[in-house]
Parts: sequence; structure tokens; C-alpha cells
Amino acid sequence: MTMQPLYDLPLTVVENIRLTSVTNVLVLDAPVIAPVIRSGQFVNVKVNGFHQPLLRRPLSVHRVVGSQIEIMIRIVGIGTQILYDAPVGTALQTLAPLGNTFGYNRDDFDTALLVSGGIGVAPMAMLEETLLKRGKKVVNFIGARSAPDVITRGLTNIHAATDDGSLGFKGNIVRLLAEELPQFNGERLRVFSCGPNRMLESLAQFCNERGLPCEVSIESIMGCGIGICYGCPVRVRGEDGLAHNQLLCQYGSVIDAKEIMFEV
Amino acid sequence: MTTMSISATHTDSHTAVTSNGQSFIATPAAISLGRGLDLKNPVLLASGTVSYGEELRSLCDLSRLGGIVTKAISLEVREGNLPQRMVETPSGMLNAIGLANVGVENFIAEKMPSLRTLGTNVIVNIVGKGVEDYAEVVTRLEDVEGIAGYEINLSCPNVKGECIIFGVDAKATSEVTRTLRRITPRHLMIKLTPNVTSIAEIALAAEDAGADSVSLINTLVGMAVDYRSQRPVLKNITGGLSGPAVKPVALAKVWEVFQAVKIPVVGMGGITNFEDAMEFFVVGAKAVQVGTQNFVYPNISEKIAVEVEGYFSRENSVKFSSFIGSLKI
Repeated sequence: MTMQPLYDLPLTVVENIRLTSVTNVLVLDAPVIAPVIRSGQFVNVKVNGFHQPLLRRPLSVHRVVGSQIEIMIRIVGIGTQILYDAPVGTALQTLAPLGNTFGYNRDDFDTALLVSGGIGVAPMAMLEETLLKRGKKVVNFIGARSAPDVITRGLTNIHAATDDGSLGFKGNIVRLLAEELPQFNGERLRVFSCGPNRMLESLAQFCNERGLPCEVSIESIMGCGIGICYGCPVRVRGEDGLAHNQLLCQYGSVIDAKEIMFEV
Repeated sequence: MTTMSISATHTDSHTAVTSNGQSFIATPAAISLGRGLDLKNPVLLASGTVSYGEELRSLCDLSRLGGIVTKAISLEVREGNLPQRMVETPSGMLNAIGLANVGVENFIAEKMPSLRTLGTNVIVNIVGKGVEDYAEVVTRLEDVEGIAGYEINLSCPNVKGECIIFGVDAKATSEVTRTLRRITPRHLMIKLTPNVTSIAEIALAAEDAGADSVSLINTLVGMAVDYRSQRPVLKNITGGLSGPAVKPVALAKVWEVFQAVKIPVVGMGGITNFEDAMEFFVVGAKAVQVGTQNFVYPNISEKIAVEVEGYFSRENSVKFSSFIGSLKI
């Protein structure tokens, strides 16, 4: 559990940038949260003041720019639709900072492979910036269904894979990583990842088999984001080697690939 | 008693010490639920929505509340159900957590020290697989300091073959209550499930067996289905419905039980703000519990407590005790 102070504040939308017909970036004025939020952490946002939808939406931070934070949204349901449509000036009640961080401060790697799938690119821009500041080399691997779904905002050094082959490598992102991995021979690598569970599972298996250090940022249904609803368990391998429930909002949302167990 | 002292109790605050040692501010909305469970105001945190208070305390001043009801405590450690455990539904949510908790021994060692410092009544929610389990947990907690009472969960709908058999059966409810009554002099609150034919009958059984109060409603059994995969959304298949969607059901059940029993009724189900809480008082709740809304606004209970106190502090306002059950038909 994070020992950072938590804030629950109304953040004003200062810009709504539509990236695609289903993906946008909300720029929020957040003078209190921007200086304290770290790469990999998330915020929990009430999308309106009504009972429908009832619960907040957990969203990773895309970037911090001065006193503003940016969150990237892909429409998957009513909550994200409201956020996609949010007019400038809207105040969104936001709980932050939540969860743990990516392991960007470690000194056991020099090259970071950022592997993302779909809306999993959202936290990568902040991670890349954080890593570059620490003198790390950053390479992005981005997977998506089709060319228009490949979002590269804030990212450099990109290798893309699409399911239909309309951009970059045709096939899934783990296969692309497998093909390109040899070029990093001799480098001290660490994989940072975010995306759909199926992708993360396959990536974690790939990395674990090769002894490649990997951490995954996991998405889950969440009720509260602070550990009181018990609604977001994930299966994590304990010291006894057995699977145990851990609440993602407290234990994660970044988890070591050797610990996370996807099969339920 | 002079007229002056009556008016003084109504409008002035004064400090007293309750039987469980908590300092007790007698606000204009202070209320006693009996057997030492004296509340500075009638707003409690509902079990299963606040864990053990640690996470909320930085976001909400829990000392402003009448009390906190802990996550259900069982004899053994319980990991709870596998994911997916919850799903949002129209103006509500379904959960099937499966009574995940640290078990009574860890609760005493790890959770009670922090709970004692909250400055509010600590009511421990208890769950068991059989009468013996309930009895053993309460016995173990009896010499633990800082506990104002127990809420007995006879009605969790999300664990198969366990507590559900008690809450839907008047005889079983009576048996558990009677057993615990013999063990503890502390306040015994029996939590009732709405998933029964006659909730008043169960409430009466609890009252006859020595319960000090009843709390209701626990969640309504519900289900969410994904037609594309033809699978239930929850791993447990069914879950408990809570949130604003259940408030009308809760109000009806509280009113029904209020008319049937003499012991205090603690109301809950979809309370999201001051107005909701006031509606429960009108239909007979002597106190309320705020649950699901803690997930949405972690400080909502404090806000409701302050507003309830404020309402009954106003010069021309009715006395809180006469407002309870004041429904005009």
C-alpha cells in the first residue's frame, strides 16, 4: 500500500484531444497531483455527478506536463464514452495518486523495452520520459488490431505490429519482440508492459522462459481503487509457490511477470 | 426533570464517556442503540465496504461518525472468491467477494490496534460456517478491548452452503442469536437478508432470542450475464446487489421490520447522501449504515453525519428521537 498522501479533488478538463474515433486524451489541471504522481500509478475518476454510472473509472496517467496531467481514454463502455465526450471546463472528481510505480529507478538494466497493446500505450509516454531522464535507452513495441489503432503519442523508437498487417509487422507483438530480441544481445534489458491480459500472459511467459526481467501493468475492474471494496483481486504466486489473491489496487497495478498468474 | 434540562439535552452538546470507554459527544443527533452502544450520531460505516478502516482514515474523519462496522471476521483466514468478483449494474453493483478476511487472530493482532485509535465505536461483523464458529469468534473477542458490539452476518449470499442457511430461517437465526447472547454482554446486532419471504418474521426471531438491534438490508441476490460468451460475469455466478438501485427495497424492508419489532432498527441500502439517510429515519431506522457509496466518495459518511447533526441542531427542527419512524400515512 502506498504511503503517499491521497487526494480526492475536482480536476478541470482544460483540453480534450481526440486522437481517433474511439481514443482521446484529457488534459486535466492538477497542480496538487501533477508533482507527486509517479510513472505507473493511476487515478480513479468519477465521470459525472450522477448514480449512473455509479463507480469511478481507474485510468493510468499518460503524461505529466507542468501542473497538468493527461489521461488517455479508449471507449469501452458508458464511463469511457462520457470521458471521450467531456467538454472543456468539466470538473472530474479524481482520487490520486493510486497504486505502485513502474520499476524505473532500478539500476539493473540499461535498455528498457516498452511493450504495449491497444490502450496499453497510455502509461508508456510518462514511463519513456522518466526512463530517458535516468539515461536509459528506450525502445517501444506497440501492438494493435490495425494501423489506425496504433497510437504513438509521446513515444519514440517504435516497432509496431498489427493483427491485419496494415502497419509494421503482421502478427502479435510478442512474436515481433521474439524476432527483434537478438539485436539487443549483450544489453542489460528490462521489459515494461501494459495491455490486454491475453497479451500480457503471453509476454510474461515469453520473458520468464528466457530469464528476461519483465513487469506488467494490469487492468482490472475496480470499485474503489483504495482497497476497501475487495473487488479487484489478481492471482499472484506467493513465497510458498501457491497462488494467492491480492488486490490489484494495492499490490499493483504493476506486478512482476514471475509473480502474476493469469489462469483462474 | 425540568423543562430547561429537556431543552438542554436537545440543543447542547456535552461530553460523556460510554460504557466501552469511547468519549461520547452528545450531539443533537446522538442516539443509543442499547446495551452500551451509544452513538454520537446515527451514521455508521457498513461492513464489507470499509475493510478495517485503515485505508479510509486519510480521506475521511472517521471520528465524526457514530461507528464503523468491520469487514466480516471468521475463525479462519479467508482468501475469498476468485475474480471476477464485482460488476457495475444500473445505479448499483454486484459483488461476490466471498468474505475475504484476515481471520480472528490476525484481526486482533493487526487490525484492532488501529481500530482503537479511530475515535468511534467499533462494531465487529462476524461470520461463521456453523453456530460453533460464531460462538468461538465472539468468545475469542470478548476480552479484546475497544469493541462496542457485534454485528452478526447471517445473510451473506455469496458463499455457498455457509451462512445463508441461518439468515433465511427463523429457527436458525434464533439459535445463533441465543447462543451468542449467552456468551456476550456486548451489543448484539443481527444483520438481516432481504432474500426471504418474511423479513419481519426473522427480525422477530432475533429479537425474541435476545438481539439488541437488527440491521438491514444485506444485499439482494442478483446476476449479470454476458450473452456473447453465454457466461455469468461473476465467477460465483450470482452476487449481492447494492447501491442506489436497492434503496426503495431497503426502505420498504426497514419500514416492515420497524413495525414488527421493539428493538432498534439500523437501516442501510443505497444511502448516498443526507436526504437518503433522512428517509431511512422516517421509516423507522434509529441509525443508518453507509456502504457502497464509500467506494464512490470515500468521505461521504462524514459529510452525511455532519449534515444530519446540522439538521437536528437547527432551532426549529424536530427532535431526532421523534423523527425516527415518523412516517405519516
